[in-house]
Amino acid sequence: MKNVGESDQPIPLPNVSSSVLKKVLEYCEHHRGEPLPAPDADTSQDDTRKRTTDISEWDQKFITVDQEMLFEIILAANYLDIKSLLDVGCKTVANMIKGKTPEEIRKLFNIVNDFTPEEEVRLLALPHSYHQLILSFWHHQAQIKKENEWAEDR
Amino acid sequence: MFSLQSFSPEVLLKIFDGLPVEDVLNLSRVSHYLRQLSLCNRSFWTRADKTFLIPLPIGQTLKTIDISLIPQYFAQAVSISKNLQPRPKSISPEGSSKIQIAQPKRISLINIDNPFDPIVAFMRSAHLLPGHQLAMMIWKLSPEDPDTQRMVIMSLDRKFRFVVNHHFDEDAAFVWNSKDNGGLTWLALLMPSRNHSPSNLCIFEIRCDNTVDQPFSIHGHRIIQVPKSCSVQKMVMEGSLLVLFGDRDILVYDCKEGLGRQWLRAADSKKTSIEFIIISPSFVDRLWVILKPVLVNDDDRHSRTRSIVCIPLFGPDRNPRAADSEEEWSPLDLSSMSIAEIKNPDLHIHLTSLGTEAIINLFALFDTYRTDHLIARSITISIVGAGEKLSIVSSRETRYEDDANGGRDNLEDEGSDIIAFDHSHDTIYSISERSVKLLWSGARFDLSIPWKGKAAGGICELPFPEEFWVDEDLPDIMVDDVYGQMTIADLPASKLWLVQF
Repeated sequence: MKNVGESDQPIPLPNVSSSVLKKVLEYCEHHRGEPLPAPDADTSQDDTRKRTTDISEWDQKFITVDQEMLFEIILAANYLDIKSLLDVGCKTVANMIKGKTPEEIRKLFNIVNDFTPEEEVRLLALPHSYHQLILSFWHHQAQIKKENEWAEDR
Repeated sequence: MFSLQSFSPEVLLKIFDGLPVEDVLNLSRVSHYLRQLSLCNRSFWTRADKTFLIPLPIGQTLKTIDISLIPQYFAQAVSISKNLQPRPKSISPEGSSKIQIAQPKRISLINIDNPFDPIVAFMRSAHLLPGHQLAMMIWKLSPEDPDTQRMVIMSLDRKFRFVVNHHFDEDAAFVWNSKDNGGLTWLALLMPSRNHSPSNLCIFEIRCDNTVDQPFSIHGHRIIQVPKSCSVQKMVMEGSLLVLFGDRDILVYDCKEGLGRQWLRAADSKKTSIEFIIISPSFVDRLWVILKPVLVNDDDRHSRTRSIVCIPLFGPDRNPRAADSEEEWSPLDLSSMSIAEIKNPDLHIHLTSLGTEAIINLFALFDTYRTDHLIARSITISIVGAGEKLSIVSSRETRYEDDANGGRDNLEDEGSDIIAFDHSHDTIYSISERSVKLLWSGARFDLSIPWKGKAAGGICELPFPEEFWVDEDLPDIMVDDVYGQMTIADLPASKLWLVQF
């Protein structure tokens, strides 16, 4: 483990519960002997960024846990600096997010919507549908008919 | 219980990194914290997919643009990319020629309440912008009464209208173009010269803000005199960059800066003339110019070879100057810029460019009235390094013979057919008296698909309702090739059809 050095002293892990640590050790045990990933390559320089969210079969099974456990595994992997496990966790969360609307994401991950309604409208900035356009057109039709000479008033 | 937001920013960014841009956009709308996070790393966006579809203002890149606007720009790109999916999507597994054509989702009839005498009024629908931004114009040219000469720009929902009083020549022709540019639209009207008077170019800056009741407003109105010595009749526009061209001259005008970027004399009118210009959203620093040779006699028609030239817009000799400057133009040395030659025998050439960071696809559809076939050609040009070195990586050509029942006969017999092209969707509209046919060539994606006739399958007929009759004078048809829809205007009846696919 980084920055710790050889020691017989117990290493305190205040952020990792025993059940999560068990799970993490299970992962490490299975992947023992595999070559370490290249030392943290600066991802910002990595132009050919992989957007792959593929996870190996064993990892997939391993990470099929309830959300709380998943989150704790990610926190532990981050804390213990186990890069490959962190990757698996992040990919799993990314897969959960894929294709979901903001509201679905909030529900899924227990996030409070702190945008005001006005802010939401501005954020969206997405076009109204043409259907609405046509509807609003007919709504305004009666009003418009009163403006017979509308071009002349300019 | 944990929330996603209890992760450290590093972990969250790692999660962002594994997501396509659509999902990151959704994440950025979940909460303030996630939005800030999505915007703290510009390199995420510059490396994202679909960047080539972003309608960035001229001179701006993803590296320089206000980062808080990035999600809105990407939202536009995502929405455009959805519309750029080739339609129809399903081709039968046997690979036979049966194609299921997309059915129109909606055909709307809109009463346009034309305020002018329909006989002298003309109408164009401008680029159909996202949401309710559809803008149209009507103008009246009345040689007898100069006081009534005016032009109106209005939106389809009638909430916005703007009347321009200007002295129009009685036979003035208008060319217009507009593109959404993040809520800002430039509308350009070109009134070509008559009797040796200079051409006039009118540019309107129309702003749209969907969050207020009155979404449109006109902020600028400029009239520029084009020098007499130059010939411009057509326009293309990308972002704020307006490119006017004629047989030999190109004027590049930046609507935003109000400066003519440059005048170029691209063709020697005795030997070659400009046929078409494209400018790609991802490469606003260069023009793709199609040059055709000037024919000495008609027999040469079938051996005509066109060349594609790529003209860089920046460089030591490319200084902006006033658009109406009468300075002498220096002709371009095209030999160093020519990149490809294409042989084709006949009249029409239509091109689209969908630039990615490395490749531009040119799709050429040669519609031949005189011969019995149609040729589609896809040329992929790769840009190496800083963009100066160009090479063709592939060039495919397909010759489509008409089937026995022949769409050809249709074309020749029903002379009143109008053909309109939607380049982005590889769709051809054929409009006749009683119907619109939607033909789909799909040639950009599968060159073995025949393009018309019964065997081709890809025909969708949209019969017009009883009350609508397109007479010979012909309706005004506008095809919107970004959003894949079409308007057909029937001015004498003051009706407008909006067909959406």
